[in-house]
Amino acid sequence: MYQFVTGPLAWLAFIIFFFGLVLRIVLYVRGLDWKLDRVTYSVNVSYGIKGAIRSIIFWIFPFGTRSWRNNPGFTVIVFIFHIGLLITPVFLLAHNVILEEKWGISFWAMPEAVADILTIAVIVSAVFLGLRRIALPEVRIITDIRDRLVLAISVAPFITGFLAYHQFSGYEFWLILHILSAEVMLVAIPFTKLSHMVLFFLSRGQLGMDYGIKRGGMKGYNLSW
Amino acid sequence: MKQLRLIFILVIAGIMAASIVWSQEEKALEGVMDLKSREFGQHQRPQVRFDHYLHETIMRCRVCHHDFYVFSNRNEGKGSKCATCHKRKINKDIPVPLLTAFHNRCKGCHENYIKWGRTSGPVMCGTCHKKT
Repeated sequence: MYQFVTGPLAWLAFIIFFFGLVLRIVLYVRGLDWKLDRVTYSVNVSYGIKGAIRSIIFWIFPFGTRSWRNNPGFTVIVFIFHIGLLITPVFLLAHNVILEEKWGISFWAMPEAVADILTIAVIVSAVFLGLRRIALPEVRIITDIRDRLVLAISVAPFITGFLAYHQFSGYEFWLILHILSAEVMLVAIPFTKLSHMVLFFLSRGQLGMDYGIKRGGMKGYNLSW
Repeated sequence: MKQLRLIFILVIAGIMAASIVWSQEEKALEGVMDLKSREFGQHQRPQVRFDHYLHETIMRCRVCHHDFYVFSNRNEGKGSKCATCHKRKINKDIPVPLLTAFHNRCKGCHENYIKWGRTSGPVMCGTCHKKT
C-alpha cells in the first residue's frame, strides 16, 4: 500500500496537479475579453503590469488593502492559515529527507518543533474559518457543501500528518492516510476553488491592470472610456 | 530463628529470580544497537534500534560495511565508524552525508528488497524512528 501511494499514485497526483493548473492559467488568460472588460490589456502593457504587480503585492501582505483592514480578525486567521499551509510541507524535515534521497534536491528544513506549531496553527485557523462560514449569515448564505469539503480536503493532510508524526496508535494507517489525503488535495486543486492557488494571482493581476490602465492609472492621458 | 531463615531463603530466591529476569533482558538486547551519532548533535527524530544480529545472519558484512577491508569495522574502537568519514555536511572527498548514508543503508536496501518482491524491513519513517 505504501509503495503504491508513494509510487504511481503520487506521480498521477502531481501530473494532474501540474497540468491542471497550467490549463487553468491558459483558460483564464484566453477567457479575458478586452471589449467585454473595456480594458486595453495588450495595448498599454506597461501601465497594466505596474497595476497588476501593485495589486498582487498589496493583497499578499496582511492589512495591505482596505478589505484586509476592515476585517482584522479574519485577516489574521487567513494569513496564519495560508502561511502554515504553504511553508510547512515545503520546509518540513522529513519531506526534505525524502526529496534529497529521491532527486538529490532539498530545501532548508525547519526545526520539528516549529513545524509542529505551524501544523497546529493551520488546524486551529481552519476550525475558525469553518466556524466563520457557519456563524456569519452573509457568508453562510453563499456557503454550500463544496466549500466545507474544500476546507476539509486542505486540512486533512495536516491532521493526519500530525497524528502520524506523533505516532498515535496505528502509525502506518495514519501515514498512508496522510499521503492519500495530500494526493486528494493535489488532484482537487485544479478542479475546485483551491485553484485560487494560481487564480488569485491572475484575477488580482487582471483587476490591477483594470485599475492601472483604466480607472485612474491613465487618467488625464487623453483617453476616454 | 525459623523466621530469620525464612527471610534469608526469600531474599536468596528473590535475587535469583531477579538475575534470571536480568539475564533474559540482556539476551533480548544482544546484538541490538541504538543508532546514535554524536555527529548529529541533538537528534530530531527518535533514534533507531538496529538489530545487527538479525542482519549479520542473513547477509555479508560488506553489504553495509563497504570499507570493511580497508578500515575494518568498529573493532573495539580500533576501526572506524560511519561518522568517521561521513559527516553532516558533504565535502569533496565524501559526497554522501551521514544522514543519507544511514538512510541509504537501511531504507534504500529495504526498498530494493520490496522491489524484488522479497521479504523486507521497514521503509516508513516512524517504523524505524519509533517513539518510545
